[in-house]
Amino acid sequence: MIEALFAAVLGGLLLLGLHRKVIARVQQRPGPPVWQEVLHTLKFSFKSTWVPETASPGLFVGIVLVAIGIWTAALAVVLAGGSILIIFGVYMLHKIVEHGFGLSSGSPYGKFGAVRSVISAASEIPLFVSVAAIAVFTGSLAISDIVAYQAVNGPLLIIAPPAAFAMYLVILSKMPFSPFAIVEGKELVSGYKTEHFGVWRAGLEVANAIKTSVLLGLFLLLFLGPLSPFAFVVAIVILLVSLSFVCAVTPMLAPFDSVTIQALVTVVMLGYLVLLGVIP
Amino acid sequence: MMAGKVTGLQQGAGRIFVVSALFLIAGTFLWAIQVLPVIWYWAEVIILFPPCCLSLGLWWMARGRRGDVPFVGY
Repeated sequence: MIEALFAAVLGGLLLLGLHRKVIARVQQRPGPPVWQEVLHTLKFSFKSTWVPETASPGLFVGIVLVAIGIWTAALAVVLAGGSILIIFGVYMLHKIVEHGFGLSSGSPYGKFGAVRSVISAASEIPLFVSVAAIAVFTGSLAISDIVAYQAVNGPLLIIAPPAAFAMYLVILSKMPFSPFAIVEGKELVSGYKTEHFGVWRAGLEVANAIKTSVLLGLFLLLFLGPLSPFAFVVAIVILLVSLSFVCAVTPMLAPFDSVTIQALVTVVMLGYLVLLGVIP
Repeated sequence: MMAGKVTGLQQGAGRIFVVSALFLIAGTFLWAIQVLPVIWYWAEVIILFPPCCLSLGLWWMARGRRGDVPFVGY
């Protein structure tokens, strides 16, 4: 189990490095090496670290622990084949964590990042209607049951493509440099993580690595079903490269536009559920 | 270990790292020999992995330095 956690951290960091590399190559830049995020995390781990004078020390440090803890818990749920509702509960907790990061710092940039996190949460929650579509077809919310269903009936990506698209958008909104990454807009310096540096940033990088592994892995389990380890790695790289292409060719949206587009997708998903007969 | 004076913060972080790492290793061993149920093992990992991570970094490079005021714009 602990080896799965280390694999998730290392794999997540490499995937984030590949994400930056693909974006750079699409934009005709050389870009950083794929292992750059691993080096970043190590570099931050060895940096001089303290707590800003204006910060709330308990929350400033504690929120980093919470960030790592919740995504470790999400990884445990995925490995155990537990309920996707818990994963999406963790996903929402991550919003509160982003909010905590920004508010604890005492920096106006961090606070603006925190506020944007809440704004984006308002539009992301309804995207979880994709979960309802999965439940309609599989009759279960347990990851193990959903994977077993696909082993018999084929991938949900083909059976319920709108649900896959909605979850793809949710994952896209969590990727760095994505059109929906309004919490990390450059006009806010680094958004909610502006004042978290040194070891605190290294901890945040670890949490982000686990988050990336969990979300991408979960998408494959929910929409492609059972895969061999080799096929799983190939599929996760293809999924990531597709996300990177979107990030590379799309500018970051203004907060209003970001929320509007996600709200529109939510409306489309609700229409899809009506068609499926979930909502009378 | 780095050269130079070891601060109190580093010593505290070092102790947290050693204790959490020992508990994680013990938990992994007990789970492997099927003494510790998997749910308790994961609970242990979820609680101890974050402080283990951070305390390792703090032990490595933490300074007993005063915080400064964040940049608030021009």
